[in-house]
Amino acid sequence: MSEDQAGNDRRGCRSTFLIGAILACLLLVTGFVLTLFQPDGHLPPSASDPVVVDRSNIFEQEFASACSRVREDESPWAIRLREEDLNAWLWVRLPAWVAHLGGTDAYGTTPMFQARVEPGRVVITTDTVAIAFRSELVDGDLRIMPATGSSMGRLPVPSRMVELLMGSIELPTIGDVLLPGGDGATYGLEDGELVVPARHRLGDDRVVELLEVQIDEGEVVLVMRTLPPPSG
Amino acid sequence: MSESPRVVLTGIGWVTPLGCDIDSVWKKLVSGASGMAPITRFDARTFPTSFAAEVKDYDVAEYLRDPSLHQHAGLNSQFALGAASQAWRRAGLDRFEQLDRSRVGLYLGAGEGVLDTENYMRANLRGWDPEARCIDGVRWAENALECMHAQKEIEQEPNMPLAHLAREFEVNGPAYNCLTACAASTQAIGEAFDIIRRGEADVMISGGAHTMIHPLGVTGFNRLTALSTHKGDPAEASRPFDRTRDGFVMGEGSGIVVIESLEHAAARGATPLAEIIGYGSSCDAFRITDIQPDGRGAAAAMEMALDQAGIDPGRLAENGRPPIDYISAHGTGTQENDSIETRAVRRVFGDLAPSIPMSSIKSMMGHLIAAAGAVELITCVMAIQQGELPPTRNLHHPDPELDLDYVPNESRKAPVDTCLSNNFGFGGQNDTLIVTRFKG
Repeated sequence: MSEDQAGNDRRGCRSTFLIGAILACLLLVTGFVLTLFQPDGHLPPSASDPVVVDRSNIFEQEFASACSRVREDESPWAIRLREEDLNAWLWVRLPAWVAHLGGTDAYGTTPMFQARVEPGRVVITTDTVAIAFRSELVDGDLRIMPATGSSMGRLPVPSRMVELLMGSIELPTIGDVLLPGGDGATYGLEDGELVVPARHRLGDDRVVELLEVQIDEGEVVLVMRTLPPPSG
Repeated sequence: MSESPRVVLTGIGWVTPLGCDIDSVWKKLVSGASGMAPITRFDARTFPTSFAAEVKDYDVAEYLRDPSLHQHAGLNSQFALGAASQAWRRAGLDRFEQLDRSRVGLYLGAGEGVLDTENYMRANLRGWDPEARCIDGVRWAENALECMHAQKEIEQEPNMPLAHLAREFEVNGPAYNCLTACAASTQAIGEAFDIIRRGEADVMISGGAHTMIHPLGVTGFNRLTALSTHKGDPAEASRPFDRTRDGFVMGEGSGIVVIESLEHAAARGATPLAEIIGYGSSCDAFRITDIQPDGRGAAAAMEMALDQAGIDPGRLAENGRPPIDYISAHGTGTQENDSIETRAVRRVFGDLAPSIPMSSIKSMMGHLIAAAGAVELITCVMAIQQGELPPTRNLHHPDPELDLDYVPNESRKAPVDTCLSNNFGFGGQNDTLIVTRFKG
């Protein structure tokens, strides 16, 4: 190999390295810039908007009414949760519930969550991240697990990374309304999945059990049944 | 003609089987507590119904300036005095020295006082002629004059609670009492509302007081088959809207409100608790002890009240919520009442009826007869203030005909701005009041 050819090769390597480094830098900068944007579609309105306040209250009232209704037997019944209702509730009522459960002050530090309901998954967004979830009912537990579609800002994040992040979250106390699920645990995180019992105890000891979750475009349908209080 | 003045509630007070102050009773109501227990006032073991919701641990002297002024007060007057004193203080009238007492009136829906049963029976026994097998009128009169108590005779008059309140608060404006059965105190508050709207008084003390927990009262309602004869825990006897409901549980007590023109309240710096915006009254024109089956009488009272309040029952409010946020049902727990009340609510609100929560506190407090309406109106005021709906206790078996939201067994947090309170009485009497959150 002549000296000229060796020199050309070194220059070629340097150029390739340089281009690679520049591309990597560009990617990093682009990625960084993407993280600075709000996740796609995150646009929560004001929680003090009277229309939103009313929508959230009506939604909660209808949900409570359906869940507490005294029913003839244990036949399944269903309730439809529309995306706009769900969001109104997340914006207005969730902070109050968090405060009620001993979390933070109402309308203080709870972030403004927004839900986007797409076939098979629900994408929860804040102003910095979007986390996509899907759910499965397994042995009396509702398992909520990461799905594709999560992002930091607008930078896509693999669902495995979300699982790792979820593993580091400490859950607040929810109280004693959730009945132990199939594995005997009340609720918690397991292998990056949120495990919530599918059975909820009402004030008169009746139990509302979640039987099926259908996630369609713009709405979630919950199929449930109401069980009588345990005898004795 | 000038516009009618707005009328606000500035004072509330009650004496009930669940307690004798607003806050503690409210806590019990939303926790689904029961005031029912075996009757202690007389030996009721041989009656078909041996339980009731009695007022417990009550001493009227705690509420009075000078208890000696009311030393012969009957039990219903004692209840009224305690409830009215709470309302008077809550309204701040005890501290308002410029009050023109000639412009303060009374309109009660108080029941009759307790009969002097024991002495009456004594006179009957002593007057009994065993040979003729009937009561000897001469002998009966001699004994009755000897043993029957003059003050107890007077205290049986239904206007006695009113007289005691007038004396206690030294008010001498318009004074009325109506006794329209179980709708009496709702009607009284409605009429008091109209008196202020007509400008005949600035302030009205209104509500009701009653006790029928005595042998004749229980016998009468047992004969009418209106009382629950539940065997088992008395707390489970009153089951409004439940398929297995078998009648009401007798309660007793008093609910009193202070209402006044907004102008008067504002001038003295009082804080309105709520505003009365509608009142309706009707009669079924049907059988004395039965309700018009299609609910048209009850519906007429509700429609009249809604019309006065300017509320269209068939349309959602501008905010998308139902036109009424909560209905305090008459909800006695008799088969007939609960079915027909449900039918009447459906008749008035149509397809919106199932979206309006409706509960009956009689499931916890029993039926306070003439006082029921006032106590239930106060419950509406508390629901507005606290943003919580009291439940219907003991609702476990759905009745296929009753398909509304009866807030079963557990209270519910809810935004409450406007409430409708129903009360119906024997004779086909129907009365409805509507109260709303005060907005200046």
